[in-house]
Amino acid sequence: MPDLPSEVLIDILLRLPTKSIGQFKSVCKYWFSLISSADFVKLHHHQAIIDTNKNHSRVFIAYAHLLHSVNFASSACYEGYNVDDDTNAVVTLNDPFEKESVDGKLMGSCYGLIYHVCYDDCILLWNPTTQEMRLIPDKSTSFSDGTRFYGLGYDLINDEYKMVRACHSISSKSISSEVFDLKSDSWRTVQVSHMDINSPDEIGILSNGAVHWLVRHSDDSDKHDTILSFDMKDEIFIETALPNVPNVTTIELIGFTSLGDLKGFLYAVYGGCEGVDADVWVMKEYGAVDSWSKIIRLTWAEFGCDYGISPVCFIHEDDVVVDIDAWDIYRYNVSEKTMKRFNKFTTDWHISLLYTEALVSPYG
Amino acid sequence: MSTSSSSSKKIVLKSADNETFEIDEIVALESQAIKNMIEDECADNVIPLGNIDSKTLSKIIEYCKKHAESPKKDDNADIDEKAVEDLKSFDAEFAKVDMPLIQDILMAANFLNIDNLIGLMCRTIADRIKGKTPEEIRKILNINKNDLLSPEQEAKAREENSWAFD
Repeated sequence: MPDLPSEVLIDILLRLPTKSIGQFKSVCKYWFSLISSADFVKLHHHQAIIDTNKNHSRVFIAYAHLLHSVNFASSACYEGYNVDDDTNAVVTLNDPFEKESVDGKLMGSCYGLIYHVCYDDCILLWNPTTQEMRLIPDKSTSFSDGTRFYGLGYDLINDEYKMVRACHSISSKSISSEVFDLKSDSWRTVQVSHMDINSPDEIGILSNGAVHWLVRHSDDSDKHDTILSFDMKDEIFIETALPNVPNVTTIELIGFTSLGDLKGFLYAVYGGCEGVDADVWVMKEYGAVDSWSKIIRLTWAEFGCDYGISPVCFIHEDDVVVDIDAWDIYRYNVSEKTMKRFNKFTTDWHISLLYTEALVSPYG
Repeated sequence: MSTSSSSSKKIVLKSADNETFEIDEIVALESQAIKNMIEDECADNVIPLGNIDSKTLSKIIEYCKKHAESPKKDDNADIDEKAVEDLKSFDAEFAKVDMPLIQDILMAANFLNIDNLIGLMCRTIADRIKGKTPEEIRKILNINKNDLLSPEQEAKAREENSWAFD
C-alpha cells in the first residue's frame, strides 16, 4: 500500500481529536514529519478557530492551583449523565506554576494559549493542550505611571499571536502600549493613543481580531461606560460604545459587567449582580453601535441565585453555560427552558477562560 | 464522435486489469478529472485508468451512479428530505468495506478528483482510527515496518507528546 498523499492524510487527521493527533506522531516517520510540520500546525489551528462546533472549544477553570479543562458541549460533564461516555469532558491539568515556580495574578486567553501575568516580573504563557510553556520578561517598560493592563490576541491575516501591555496616563490623557510578537523575544513600542480612558480591571476578550475590555471613562465613574479595544493587525486602540440602556435607578449603579465572544460576535453582559437580572447584548455587525441587540435575559429567580450570575460560554445562541454565585455552573437551554447542573467541582470561588484545543506553540 | 442513437452519451473506462466499463457521461462527470478531460476534448472513446483495478473502479462507478442520479443540493433549495436521507444511508452502506479497499477507493477518488467520495473515505478512516493507539493504527492501515520511527525516535516522540497519552 503506497502512502496516502499528504493532502489526503491531512484531511483525515483534521477530523480527529487533538489528543489523537498528538499520539499519532508515533505511528510512522511519514506521520511524524507531517504532524510536526509548521504547515500542519497552522492548518489545525485555523480549523479549530473557525469551526466552533468540532469540540475544539474548551473552558479553563482555575480555583487556587486546581486547574481543569472542560468541554461543556459534552453531556458527560453534567449530573445524571455517564462520566465514562466521554473521559475528555473534564480533564485535570498540570499546574504550570509548579514547574516554573512563579505565581500569577492576572490572566487571559486567546484561542490555543493562556497567559498569566505573574508577581515575578514575567508573564507565563502556555498551551493547556500540549502543556508547552514559556516565560516572557515583563519588567521594564517605556511607561511607568498608572495601572498596567494586558491582552493576548491573534492576527489572523499575518497568522501570529501577540501580547499587548498598556497603561493609561492621567497626566497626558493617553494610552501608551507595547507589543510582544511571540516569534520575537522583545517588546516594541506602539504609537501612543490619545484617549482619556482608565486602565481596565477586567479580562480582555478576543473578538473580531481585537482584544476588548470594559472600561470607565473617568475615575469617579462607578460603572463601566465604554469598550476599549486593541486591534491586533493595525495595533491601535479603538473605543466602541456600549448598548444604550434606558436608565433604571438600581441598574444604573451596576451597568455592564462582562464581555464575551459568541461564535464571532462580541457580546456585553448587563447586570448579573445586586439582584439585577443579566441581559446579554450582542453586536450583530461588528463596529456598528446601532446593531447592539438584546438576545437573552438570565433571571435571578430561575437560578435561585444569591450573589451573581454570569455567562461562561455559549454552546449555541440559545444554549448557554452560566456561572451562579461563582459556585455552581449550569448549562441552560433558553428555548426549552431546561437546566443541567455541572457535575464536577462546585466548591470554591473560581475563574474561567475560554480556549481552543490547538497544537500551537507559545513560541509562535 | 458520431451521434449516438441512445438518449445519453456513453464513456468507457478501462481499469488497470483491462476490464472496460461503459457508463453514462453524466456518471463520469462526477469525477472532476474526467470532466476536465472531456471539456478539454482530450478524452478518447476509452479512458484508460492504469492505476485503478477493476474491483475499485466498479465501487467508484457504483458511487458515482448513485450520486449522479440524486438531485443536487444546489439545484433547488427545497430538495426533498427523503432524497438526502436516502443518499446518506447509501453512503453509510457504501463505506462498510474492509480497510485495504477503503484506501484503494480513497487513492482512486483522489486521482479522479471526486470531492464527496474523498470526504466520505477520509471520514470513514478517521472514525476507524479515532481513539486507537499508534500500534493499532499501524495494523489497521498496514504500515510497513521500514517506515517506522527508530526506537529512540519513538521514545522521544512519546515523551514530547506525553500530554496526548494521559
